[in-house]
Amino acid sequence: MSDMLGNAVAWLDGARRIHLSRPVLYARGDDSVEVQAGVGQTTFRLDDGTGAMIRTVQRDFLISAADLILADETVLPQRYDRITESIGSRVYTYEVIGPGGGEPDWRWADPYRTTLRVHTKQVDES
Amino acid sequence: MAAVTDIADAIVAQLEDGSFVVDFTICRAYRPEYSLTQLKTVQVTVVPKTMEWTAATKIRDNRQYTVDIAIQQKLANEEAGTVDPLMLLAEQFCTVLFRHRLDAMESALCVEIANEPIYSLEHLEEHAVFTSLLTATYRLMG
Repeated sequence: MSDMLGNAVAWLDGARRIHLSRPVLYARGDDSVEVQAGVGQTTFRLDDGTGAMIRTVQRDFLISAADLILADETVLPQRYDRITESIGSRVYTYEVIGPGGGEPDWRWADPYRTTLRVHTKQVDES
Repeated sequence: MAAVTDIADAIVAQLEDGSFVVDFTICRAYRPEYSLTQLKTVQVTVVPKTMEWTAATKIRDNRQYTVDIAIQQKLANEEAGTVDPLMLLAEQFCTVLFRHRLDAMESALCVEIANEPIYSLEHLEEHAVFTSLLTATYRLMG
């Protein structure tokens, strides 16, 4: 019997890629790849853990695991990888950094390990 | 101006004139707040913290002031070559300030300096930011 849920997740991932995503550049060092990414939650935070406050824009990107190919190898996200997104004439750069509180920098978005949810924070804008 | 803000300004001037392991931007602020974009380069912020007057004798007072000095930078990685110079900068600040009077306010003597936290694990984990906080205690001398 076929894996109906697994097939459904794969179909949803394809539909997300076609209808609910935009091209972004995913980079690690000198290697980069253009992937279709869905934009997940975007939040604004102000942290004052030590009295020195840090203002952040957090953004989650949903990326098909099969698309994340750097230097001819399928890879998983790593802390400090960069995602560049163009909106109109503005270019926003995000870095893979988890939300804190022991949360990982990325996680699987589905039980079939089809889609990655990559947690990032904005580090540049031009 | 209040003595504690005079001390903070004098610390800014003292550190601006010094020679240190890394370049930095320094300012005095009441509420330090930066975005990650603003922390691409080393940012030092001097913040007035406390004032304490105690009667030492019938005719003499002890007037003590504390000032926070925050060293911050968004890190590109957590390798020793990136973080070590920032740790050294904090120690160099201690060396320049501790047991010294401020050039711009010679009545202020640094009698104690603490580096707690040496670096904030929370900022490192949540923001990839190095934050080191120095708290300098000054006594106004005659």
